[in-house]
Amino acid sequence: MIPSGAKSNAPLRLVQPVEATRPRRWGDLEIIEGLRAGQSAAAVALCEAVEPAISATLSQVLGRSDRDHDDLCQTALMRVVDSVVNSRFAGRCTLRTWANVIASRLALDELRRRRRERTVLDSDSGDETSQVAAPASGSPERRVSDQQQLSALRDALAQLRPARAQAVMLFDILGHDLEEVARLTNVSVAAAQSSVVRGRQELRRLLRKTREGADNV
Amino acid sequence: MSELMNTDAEVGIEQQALELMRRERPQFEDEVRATARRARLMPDLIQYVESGPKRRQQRAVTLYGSGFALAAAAAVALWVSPTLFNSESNLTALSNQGDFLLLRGEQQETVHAGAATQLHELDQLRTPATNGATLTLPTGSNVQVNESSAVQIAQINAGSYETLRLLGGSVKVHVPKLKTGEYFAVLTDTSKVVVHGTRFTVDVGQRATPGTTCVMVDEGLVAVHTAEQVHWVGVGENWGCKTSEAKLDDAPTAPAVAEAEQPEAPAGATQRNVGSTSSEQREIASLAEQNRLFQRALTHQRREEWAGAREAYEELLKRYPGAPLAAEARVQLRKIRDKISAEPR
Repeated sequence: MIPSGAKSNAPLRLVQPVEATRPRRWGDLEIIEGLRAGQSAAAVALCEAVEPAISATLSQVLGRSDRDHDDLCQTALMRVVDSVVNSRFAGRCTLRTWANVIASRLALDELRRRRRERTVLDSDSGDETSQVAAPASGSPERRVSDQQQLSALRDALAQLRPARAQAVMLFDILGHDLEEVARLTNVSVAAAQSSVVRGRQELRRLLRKTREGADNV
Repeated sequence: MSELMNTDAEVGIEQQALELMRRERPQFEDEVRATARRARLMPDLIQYVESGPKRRQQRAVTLYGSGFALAAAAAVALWVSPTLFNSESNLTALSNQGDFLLLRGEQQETVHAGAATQLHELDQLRTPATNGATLTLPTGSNVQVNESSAVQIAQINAGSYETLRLLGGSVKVHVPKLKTGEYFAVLTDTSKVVVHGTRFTVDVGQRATPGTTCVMVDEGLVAVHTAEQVHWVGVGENWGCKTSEAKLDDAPTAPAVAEAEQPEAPAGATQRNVGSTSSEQREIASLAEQNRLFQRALTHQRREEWAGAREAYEELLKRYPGAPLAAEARVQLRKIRDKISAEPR
């Protein structure tokens, strides 16, 4: 600490701004070009850019401590790479949003796969994800009730038609607006709206059915 | 859009659940945990990205390879198919009696007595007034081209169809029993003679009335297709031939027309080339009646009136079990019975 009024004899030196010391952030276009060229640096940049979004979406849909979280993150990243390299990514949104969409599709596929497995093996021991990651707030009863609702919602989403489930997922869960949903799913706004409305109706029906079943038990 | 808003004070059951899932999205993540996860993911991802161009190259090679293999297979198939399916090489013309003329495009070739030559589609064969020639077709059919006649190979495709066009004169045809899907026909300017039997003569020359085709059947059954309808000609019958050949009436008549006017008339259209004794006239009347029944059945069949067709065929078989048309009637009857049994009740 230099006392006020005292002069330091130390020479002044040029200090790099804080931003410049951080690794350079790649833009979407650079990442895309790099991925197409097979550059490892592009893979690192992609991972840094989109992995948090992918992880968050998977946690949101499948639960925060899902057993397959890492594997699904890996799969989602590879799908993003494939879509970029094979030009399926049309650049209508950011890479992060695109990765979010891919992660949501993957999560829905996973919900369906798990439901099929439960049906086939008839070993429904309850959704593992529903037993963990309870919200921090609220009474234990409330937390259990929330987890049951989430579990029922996952089951219902797995039963919806893929297009409807995707529309509900993007609009109601991930918070995209209708125009974005339409653009991301490559349909008209009217079709996207219809999918959301019908998807919700179907969810309502399925959730009521689940609740009635639970009440009867 | 208003449909998407929750206007109701009470939030729907699905909205409650969706809201819960919305809140499930982690806002912050433990940096150490996230870094550790990325460290685990990174090596595989880097390898995947680095191997991408090579993978795409391999895929392209596979794709091009498959394309090349497909193209090669198609080329081989195209090369092989004429040999397998278009057995023109089996189509030979034999000049067993004397010379004849072969026209191929604008070229003319004389085939000398005793020589055989290969024929191709659209070739024309012309015989002189002194001798005829014999054609052997891939299905084994034998066509005797008579003197002063001209024939064109209209279509030839072994295993499916053979069609000759009679340009002039007459041909005598002997067709072996055809397999399912095989088809043999002789075309003239006025009609098409389709084989259902084995031996018959088609004449557009001396024996035919000008502008018509004379068909005489020695064995089996043939169908003569004209612009108006189909006429069935059985053994010993003729259609459209001059009366000098038939020794009965002067003008050839179409069977269906004649029968419609005189169903029981002995001088029906399907006339036999014999004299007019009473027993023969009875036989002719019988043939006319057989033909009438067969025509009636065919008419019902064409209209898909299965019951009527069955009745007519059954009557024909009951009254004339040994008739030349009986064999065909039995076949058609079987088809109709199958049809009726297959139809939903």
